[in-house]
Amino acid sequence: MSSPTSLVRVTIVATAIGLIAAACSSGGSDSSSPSGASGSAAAPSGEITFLVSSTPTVDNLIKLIPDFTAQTGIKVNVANIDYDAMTQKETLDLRSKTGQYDAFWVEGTFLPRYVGQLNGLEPIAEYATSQGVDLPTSDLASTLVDNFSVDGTLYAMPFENTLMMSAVRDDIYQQGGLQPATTLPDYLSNVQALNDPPTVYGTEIMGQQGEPVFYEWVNWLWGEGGDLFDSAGTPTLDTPEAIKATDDLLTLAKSAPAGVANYSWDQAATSFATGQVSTAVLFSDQTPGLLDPSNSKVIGKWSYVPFPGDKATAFGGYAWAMNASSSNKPATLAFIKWATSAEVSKQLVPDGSSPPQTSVQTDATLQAKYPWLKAEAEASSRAIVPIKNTAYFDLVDALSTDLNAALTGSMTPDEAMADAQSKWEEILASQ
Amino acid sequence: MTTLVRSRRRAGWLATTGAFAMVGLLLVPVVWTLETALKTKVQAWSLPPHWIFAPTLANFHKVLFEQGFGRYLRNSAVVAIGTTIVALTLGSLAAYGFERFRFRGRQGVFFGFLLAYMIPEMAIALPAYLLAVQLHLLDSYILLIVMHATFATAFATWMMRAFFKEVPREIEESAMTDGATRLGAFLRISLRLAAPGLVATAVFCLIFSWNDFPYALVLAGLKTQTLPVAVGSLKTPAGTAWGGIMAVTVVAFVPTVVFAFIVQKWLVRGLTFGAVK
Amino acid sequence: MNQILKRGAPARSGRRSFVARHKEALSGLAFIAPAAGFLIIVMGYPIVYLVLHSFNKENFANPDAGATFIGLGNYASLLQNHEFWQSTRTTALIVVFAVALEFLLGLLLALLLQRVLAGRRVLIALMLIPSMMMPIAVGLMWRYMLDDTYGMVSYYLSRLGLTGTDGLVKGSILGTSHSALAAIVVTDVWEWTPFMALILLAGLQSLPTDPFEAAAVDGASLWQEFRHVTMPLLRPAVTVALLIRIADAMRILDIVFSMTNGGPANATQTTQLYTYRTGFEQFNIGLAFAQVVLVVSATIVVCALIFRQVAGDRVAR
Repeated sequence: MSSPTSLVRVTIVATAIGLIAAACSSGGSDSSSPSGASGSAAAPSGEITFLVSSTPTVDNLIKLIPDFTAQTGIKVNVANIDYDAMTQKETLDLRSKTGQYDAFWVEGTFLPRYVGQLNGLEPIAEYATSQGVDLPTSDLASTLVDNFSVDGTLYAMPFENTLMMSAVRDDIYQQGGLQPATTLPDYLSNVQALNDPPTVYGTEIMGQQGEPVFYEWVNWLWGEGGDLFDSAGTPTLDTPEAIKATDDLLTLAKSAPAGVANYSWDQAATSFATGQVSTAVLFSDQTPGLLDPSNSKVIGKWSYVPFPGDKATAFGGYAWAMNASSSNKPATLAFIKWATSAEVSKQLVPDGSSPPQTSVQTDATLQAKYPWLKAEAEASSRAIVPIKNTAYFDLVDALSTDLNAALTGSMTPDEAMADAQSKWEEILASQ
Repeated sequence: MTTLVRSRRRAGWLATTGAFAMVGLLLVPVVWTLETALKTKVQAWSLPPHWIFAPTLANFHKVLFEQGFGRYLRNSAVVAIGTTIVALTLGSLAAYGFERFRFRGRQGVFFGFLLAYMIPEMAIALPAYLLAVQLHLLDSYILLIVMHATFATAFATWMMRAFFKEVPREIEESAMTDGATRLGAFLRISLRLAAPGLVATAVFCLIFSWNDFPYALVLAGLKTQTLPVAVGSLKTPAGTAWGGIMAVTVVAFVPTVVFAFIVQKWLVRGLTFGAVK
Repeated sequence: MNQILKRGAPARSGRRSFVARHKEALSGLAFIAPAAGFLIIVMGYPIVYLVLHSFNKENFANPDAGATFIGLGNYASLLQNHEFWQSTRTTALIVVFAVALEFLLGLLLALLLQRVLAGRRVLIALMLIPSMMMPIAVGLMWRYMLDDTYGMVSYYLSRLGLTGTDGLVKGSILGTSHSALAAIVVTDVWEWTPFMALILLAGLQSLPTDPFEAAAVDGASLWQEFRHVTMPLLRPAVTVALLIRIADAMRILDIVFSMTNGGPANATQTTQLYTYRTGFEQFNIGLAFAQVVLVVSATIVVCALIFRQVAGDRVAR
């Protein structure tokens, strides 16, 4: 390295590398052509990190991301992890305000904690307005917007409109000469009538303690005219309606396969997809599994019907939120807007997604090709988040343990509801 | 004497049959896992259970290539190897110290090492997370290796002490009277004689690090995500990818089995203490 | 085993330096220092943090609300909490049955492997697979095998006539508290028996040959040899195996999480799962840390008792 010639050579090479590097980096930052948005000084660019949990629809979205990067030049790093892990990582990130994740998955039940306690989410509609970007919230049902709002402020853009639907086997119903029920009593008698073990069972239920049994049960609670809280916020579990709803679960269990006391959403979907049951209440994000030949034995034989009655049903959908500590908010906004747009949504429908946009749900061509959209469009307007409270897990744990106890016979429905009531009062009092 | 030899030989054949039977029984679920990895969900969830079927490599293809599990494998390997090296080094030194030297409170301190193994990782992970954020160590290999090495070192110390106990002091003594230092005797004699223990310890340090979930969950990020947390991603809100999980599991244990196969000659080799006599 | 290192020269000779007098202790500490220092540095802050915060009422996900010092409040509420005691009992049941079975089966397997005439390499490598599989995958796999409708185990049990209302397994395997608990024990035993076997085998391989030769000369039978030579000499390995396994089993989480999520009705909720719920779902870390302190203290007591019992008299030699 001491001879002048080699030194010159090195300098030339180094300069060349430096020039190339400079050219590349500058090339990256202005590759995005300015769009219609004129509010901001420069078009969004750079890199963001996107935290999700895997579902078929999410996986399909991830496949479309290269299109987004090609259009805008924004690079999206996807962290695709276990669902429970994801919620914990979100909490940790929001608490430490490190902004490790720019955009991530939130559900309605997360908002009291993420907004009320951690104050970690950017109010996305307000931010968009301040940036001169239009977010099509008018294309969303008002209940849907409410599900992701706190005190009227929207905090996340809905992506998958997961509803709880009644799934029925058209062929079995036809054979039995029955129509899908529109009232709860009819539903119960249908299930009993079609129960023909071991060939096929009437129904299955998600009985596992934790969220599964809670979500299974809450629809019946509402269907029977009851509710979790009254208008003052006092729990109303120790009521005739709640006890009847628990009774209904037990009735359903009699026409269900053994082991439902341990069924979570996975087994529920598998049970229906393998043709084990005639009727099931499923989360609509299970649709892809029902359409996939490597997964489903009932292709073409099923349809969704609205949950009987005209009362509320549980909403389990998710949306993309923006981290208030994000270091690249413009790019994050651009990404969220793209990912929740009707155009992208339409591309995801064929594989079984549940689109949040009313325009997509009611699109005649799509409805003709993908019949489940019709029932979803009806259900969408009455789907609400069951509990919006910072003590969400506490409450669900307490209630679901009692429900599971009733299901396995260690408590009667009366005892279970009384116990749940007192536990809920205790939890809320200590808040 | 001949009857004794004969009964010992008979015992040998009995033992061989017995061992094969026990291991065979143990492996039935493993075979089932392998088969499930080669099935579609429809095949896996059907009655009666199929032992013979048309296999598919789709699950393996999906997890390895479409979902990028190769990267997670690499991360897990890096952390596991780093952890094992640290744990074996620190652990065998400490174990030797506990075994060969007497001092007040020895047993107490030794027992104290077990604390690292008894405290649930999740409880440690939260404060560790806070500290890591301060030190800007989040999502780094170093952080994971250090955290894994805590319980691995505790484990290694405990394991190795038992093996050093079986190394006769006389051999070390004679080496030291010949001019070797304590450390030299340790390295050249004691470690070598306790080799089977070293190997067993290494195997398990690798396994523990490889399979750790809580620290990886809280402290790893995009760059250092390891296999166990990634496997969890196959348990989605929309259903569990059974075939995929089994496929990853198989891919995960194959390297460890190969490693065990290679090193276990050290385990099996009998020690000769003939040198003592 | 002889005493070799005598404590330096007789004290009579007076002024010997501190180092010379405490040569043995210092040498020992020199060997131990790296590991001890490492553990103290890395785990010191977390342990102090967790003990201090166990005296608070605080929510990790709500930093603005701050932490309220409540002294022993968390501990008091735990000791009166039915769910906490239930989880303690559940964990104790699992630990006792699982570790006992793992030890007995592991010992048997180790003894067999030691005398195997052919194929030992393959056997050992293969046998380790259960211990090497990811716990979360093990839990899921057994959940699948024990599924009442599609599970392989349930299928063959029913073929053998062991299920049904008159059978051994009444009702759902994972949906009934007793069988769910048994299932967890079986899964844990399946997973960790090879681990035990390996430690005990390595221990067996390390035993000096003299006592065995002496026993053979004395004409001891296999059983006598086992009882009077093998087992006493195996004590160190046994201690290690038991204590490590017990400490591990008390932290059981992945399997329970994947198989039953603590159900039915908290019948299989272990202390670790309960702590996870309290600390990582509800983020009530004061309470969670108090639980940890209680459970770890209990573990220390149990392990210390076993340690002193099994390893105590070895030290005296």
